[in-house]
Amino acid sequence: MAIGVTRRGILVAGMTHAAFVSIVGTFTMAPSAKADEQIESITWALPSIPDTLFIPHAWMTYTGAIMSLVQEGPLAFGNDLGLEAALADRWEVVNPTTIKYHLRGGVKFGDGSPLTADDVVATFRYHMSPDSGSQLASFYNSVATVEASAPDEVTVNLKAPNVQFAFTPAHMAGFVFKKEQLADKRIGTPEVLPLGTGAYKLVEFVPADHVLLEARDDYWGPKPVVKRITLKAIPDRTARLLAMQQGAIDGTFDLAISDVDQWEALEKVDVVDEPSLGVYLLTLDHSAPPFDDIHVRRAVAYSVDRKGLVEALLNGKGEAATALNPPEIWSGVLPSDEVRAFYATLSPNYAFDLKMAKAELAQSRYPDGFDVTIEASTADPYMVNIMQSVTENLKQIGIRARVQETDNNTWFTNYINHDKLGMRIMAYYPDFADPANYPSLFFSSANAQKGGMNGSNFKNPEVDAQLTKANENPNPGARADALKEVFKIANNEVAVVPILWPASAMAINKKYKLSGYTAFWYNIPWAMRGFGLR
Amino acid sequence: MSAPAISETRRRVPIVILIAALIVTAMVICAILGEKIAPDSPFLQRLGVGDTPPSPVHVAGTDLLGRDVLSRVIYGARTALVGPVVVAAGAFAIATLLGLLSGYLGGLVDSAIMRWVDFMFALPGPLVAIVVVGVVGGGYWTAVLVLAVLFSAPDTRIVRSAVLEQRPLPYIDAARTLGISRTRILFVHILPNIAPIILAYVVLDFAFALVNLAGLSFLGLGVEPGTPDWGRMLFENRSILFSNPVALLLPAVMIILTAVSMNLIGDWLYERFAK
Repeated sequence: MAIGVTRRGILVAGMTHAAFVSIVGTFTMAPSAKADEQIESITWALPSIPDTLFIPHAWMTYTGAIMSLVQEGPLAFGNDLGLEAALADRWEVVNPTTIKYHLRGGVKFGDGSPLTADDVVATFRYHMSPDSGSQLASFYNSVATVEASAPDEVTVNLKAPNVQFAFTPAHMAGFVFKKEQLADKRIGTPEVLPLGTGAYKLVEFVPADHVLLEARDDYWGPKPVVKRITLKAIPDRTARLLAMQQGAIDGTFDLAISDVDQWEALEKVDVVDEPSLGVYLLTLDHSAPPFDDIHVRRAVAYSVDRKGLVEALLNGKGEAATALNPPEIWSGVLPSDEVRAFYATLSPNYAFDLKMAKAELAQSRYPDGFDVTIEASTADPYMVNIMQSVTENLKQIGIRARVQETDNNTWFTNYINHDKLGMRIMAYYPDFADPANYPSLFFSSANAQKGGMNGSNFKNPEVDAQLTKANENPNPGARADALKEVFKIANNEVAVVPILWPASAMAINKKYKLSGYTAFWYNIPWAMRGFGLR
Repeated sequence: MSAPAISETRRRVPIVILIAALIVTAMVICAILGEKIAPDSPFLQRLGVGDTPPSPVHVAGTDLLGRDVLSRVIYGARTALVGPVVVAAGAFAIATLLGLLSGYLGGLVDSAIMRWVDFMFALPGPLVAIVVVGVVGGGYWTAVLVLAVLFSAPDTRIVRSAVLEQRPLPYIDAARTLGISRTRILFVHILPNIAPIILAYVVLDFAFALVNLAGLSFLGLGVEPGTPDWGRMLFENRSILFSNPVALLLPAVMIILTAVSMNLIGDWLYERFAK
């Protein structure tokens, strides 16, 4: 079943903002809570709590779900996934390579110190510094300089026009740290909890176990409805369901769609599902044997039963991925029906076919197969099951594949460090709703290195050139053409093996409501987006 | 009661033990023949079917990936039995050697081996296995190795006690007087006399190993994903508890049946031969 959402209008507006027009952001706030609506505390479960809360070293959805309540960027994503003002009360695109962010007055960090332009500059520069080891460095690849052009103004100069950078200040890559804290190597540990300007401050952090947040009285925005939020790790899906049933938790994100029936059967629980714009894929290291052989990569691509996995794991709430981008993420440049038509023209289409897989492997340098181990995160609702299916199919064509279960932190760290990549499974949810987001991360040569998301080490000069066009040219038609070329080459070269585009689901106790649940739940202050008593 | 009557009672095999032996025999047949007697391939996925409750086609239903649960349970007997057999055999290989040396030689050797046993007793067995498998990796066979070493400690004490009983007996004195080597006395004369005790405890070790390995698989630290294994099936099929409870209950029942049967047989062997 296709995910029936179109964000074309929203994104066209967003793009126009980013590229051409000086904008005065209109600030949208959630309605202030009434005194009698104050909630003393809630407990929220996540499949995993990171080992550190320092986002540059723990770039994961679950870190985002915590820190988006503590930290803010100059901009934010609205409920419509478009850009809106946050720490910057307005921003202007001076010219295609210069953006100015005018900071809001009276904003304080959790320790009471005021936010300054220097904090924003220090944060951006931290990500840009090769010495920082920031996992989010790629978000700043297009940035030439960042300066405090006034006490309340930050100016970003880009190396060249870049449509995607407009979203970075709203993404967790733009969450502002206090300058002094960035110099402390212990930041993110329980000893040095990151400060932020958000509605909550960190009170307690036990790595991999739980986090306690407390609402700030001196927050510049609307008063938080919930006074205290405990986020605890319950990796086991059944344990999370039982915890919800027993009232030990008030809600959770990232439900497995295959479990939704069980969650819906709980008496006091509401289940909300939304298109996630996410993608599950396999990366195959093009720079080393055996995946440097195109026939091996094609053999793997033919061995994935995408449609079957969607039926078995998603109960139809999702779609078999025929390319990296879900069609809806193109909506700023191309309607999803046109995208589907384009995807249908991609050749070969790698539909599940073990005979073709065997034939490809027979043409490769490894006709007798090889051994490969693929790490899968146990915190993810689908990875282990997907890999069970894929490895069983690979065994049938002679590739001796095995799945190695790991915790979420280990799985991601090993991926991002580009250490012995081989074949890996990746679940990625969009940083922003732009069609160049995924291809820039997974296909760009610049990201084929430690800290980059290009886990296939895929390098192609033509792809890089087309991505540059797609990122620099604000014209939707030109962007669509450039990205189509990228997808044609990526498909032919098997840059990645797309698997599925899932929906996302969350559960919440019926006594509460959360009207602002979106595909970006991990990048917005969710407890401030329409959360309250029913 | 006369002496011959007692002997007759000891020789008679209780019906419970016969049933237990039948169950274990059935498990062994499943382990040996596996895929040949399973109604379906334990690995064949029917993703379009997914998890289904029991039906005439799939007597125990299917799991999330559409695999036949009964076939996986039958095939899973192999993993369920092989690991514990290796643990029990390994534990007693270590325990027999150390127990014989400790009990027969005494002195410093005895002290050193017994302190090692005391140390091993102080370790929380399953937790050590979890930590070692978690840190070292290696999955199922690492777990088997760890359990074999852990189980050898109590077994060493048992063998040592049995040797201490044998050591003062006249046949050992006679062997020594005849100038027979220590090695020969230990392995040719003492070992056959304590073999029934060892056999009884091997069986009991098997039962404990079965439960422990299933527990590790349930925690995701045993066999690799996709392997038909009773403990692993318990773990994987929790998510389909409501749609096909048999997928969860059947492997659980198999673990219980096998462990209880082996316990009963071990107890009976101990009563029959060791006392």
